Amino acid sequence: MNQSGQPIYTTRGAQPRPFPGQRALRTSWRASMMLVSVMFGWLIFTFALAAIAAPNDPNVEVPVQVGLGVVVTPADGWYSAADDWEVGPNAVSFQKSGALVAFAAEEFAGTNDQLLTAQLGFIEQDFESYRSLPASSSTVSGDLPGLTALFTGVSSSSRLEGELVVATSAGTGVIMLAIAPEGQLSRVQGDLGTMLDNLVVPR
Amino acid sequence: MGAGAARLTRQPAFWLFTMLLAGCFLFVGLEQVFYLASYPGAWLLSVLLLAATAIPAGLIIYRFDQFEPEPTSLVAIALLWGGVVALIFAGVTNSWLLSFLQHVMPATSVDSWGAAIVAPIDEELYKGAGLVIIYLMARSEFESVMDGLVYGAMIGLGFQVMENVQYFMLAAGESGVGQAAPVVGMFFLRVVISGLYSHMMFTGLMGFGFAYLMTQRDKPLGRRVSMFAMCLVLAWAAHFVWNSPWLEALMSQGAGVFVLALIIKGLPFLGLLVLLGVFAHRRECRAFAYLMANEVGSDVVTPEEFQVLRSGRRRRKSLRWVKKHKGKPARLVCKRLMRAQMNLALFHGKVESGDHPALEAQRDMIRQLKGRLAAFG
Repeated sequence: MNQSGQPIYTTRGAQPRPFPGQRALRTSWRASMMLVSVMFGWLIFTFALAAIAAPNDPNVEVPVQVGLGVVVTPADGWYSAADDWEVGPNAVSFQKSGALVAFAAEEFAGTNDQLLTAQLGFIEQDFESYRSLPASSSTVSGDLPGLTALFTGVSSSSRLEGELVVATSAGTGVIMLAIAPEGQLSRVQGDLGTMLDNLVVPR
Repeated sequence: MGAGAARLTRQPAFWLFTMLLAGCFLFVGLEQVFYLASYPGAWLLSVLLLAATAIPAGLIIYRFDQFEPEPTSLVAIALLWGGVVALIFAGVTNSWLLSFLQHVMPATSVDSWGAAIVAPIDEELYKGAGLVIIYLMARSEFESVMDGLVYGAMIGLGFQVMENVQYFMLAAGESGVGQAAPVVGMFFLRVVISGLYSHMMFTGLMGFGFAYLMTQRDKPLGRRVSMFAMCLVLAWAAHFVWNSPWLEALMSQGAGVFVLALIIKGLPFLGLLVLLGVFAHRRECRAFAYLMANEVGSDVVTPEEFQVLRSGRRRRKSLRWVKKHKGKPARLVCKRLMRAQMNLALFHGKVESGDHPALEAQRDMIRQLKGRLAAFG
């Protein structure tokens, strides 16, 4: 529809319209580059903030008495879940971003295998569609041999995954049970490992 | 390629948009493939439910600007910016900013307030960048505050739809009771109950302010900047209040109270956006009357036709009348006639003299359409 010389029409969909003036024809790269600089600048700025603040820690991880001489130090960002998860005497619970973990201590004279089997039996009762992987060996409190089992199941209409770690020492059984929405446990497993490593267990 | 598209490809901003879209699309595409492979039923249900609500919502927003509907190419760019580019950039910066907060704030505060602090800053920034890029691509399409409101709401709609897919898939993943129930539950919560108070509203507010700054050049600069700053703060505040844990205690006291709490959090800002929308619509009506002043009373637009053109309700009523008494083909011609008459006002706004060839050609087109309509009897 454009005529020779100064065009009077441009098509926009099915509707013809007057041709816009030269002002609207082309903008410079400068404005676009400024925009992209702001976008990537903010991206880099937030990355730098996160990196600079990483060694910082406003949450003073005060060691918490679990009971029977067992002491746990919550990892960075974990705080008490006592209001959400009542775990009884000789036990404490923590939470972070939807994941929960409980540490418990009880008098126990058996082996790691026996303690694990007993605990998995309790857990199975609380879950539907319960499945667990075979237990693997691990260490607690630095060098104390323990056993770890991963499991999944449904509780209160939510599919959850969990990690159970047990160890026994000097007549005391130490249990760590962590639960998180399916797919979320791996995000906190580093923290769980740190807490298990730093656990104080009577020898 | 149409002239409009050819014009877009001459803009550096268009190529910038294309590059950002291509990069971000890789991430969004992979994410969707993962969802489809992991939860096929839930993913398909999500797409169906969101399409069933987002398409009507998009059409309603598109029709806000009844005197000059925005070009579909720019509307598509707005949706893609919100749903792909802004979503990816905001997703990355949200996680980094949250990580920063976790190292400078108590853990309990971050769990409660992290989303309220982080999301408005990052998400409004990147959605707002979409308004700037559309402006850089097609300055001539940013003519009124209504344009900003429409583009802003479209960017917000794109963002909201893709974010909802993420939430629906998360719900499906966390649930052990099948894939449909959690998706429907989340759909009810995020779309049916609170869909109006979400990103469409936040970015609509920002779009209004941005368009006020860029288009109202007859107003003092200080006033334009103040209005932009106010809308920016409002968009941020609406997002902050919505994400904040305020009224959480109320929300756990039953479904009715839960809905009431959501209304308390969202309705004041929605009401404000509606007020701004009414303000923008009135300005459009005044501008339309001003631009058509020299045409009304001529053979092109009669005073009666002008009164009909000014109101969407009267236009729809007229079209229904024509369809009932003259048939469906006559209704189609009448609809084209109305659009051609309304475009006349648009053309007046873009040319300097009343006898510009584009205006004359448009008047001829209107006369032809009137002749065709008269032929229906």
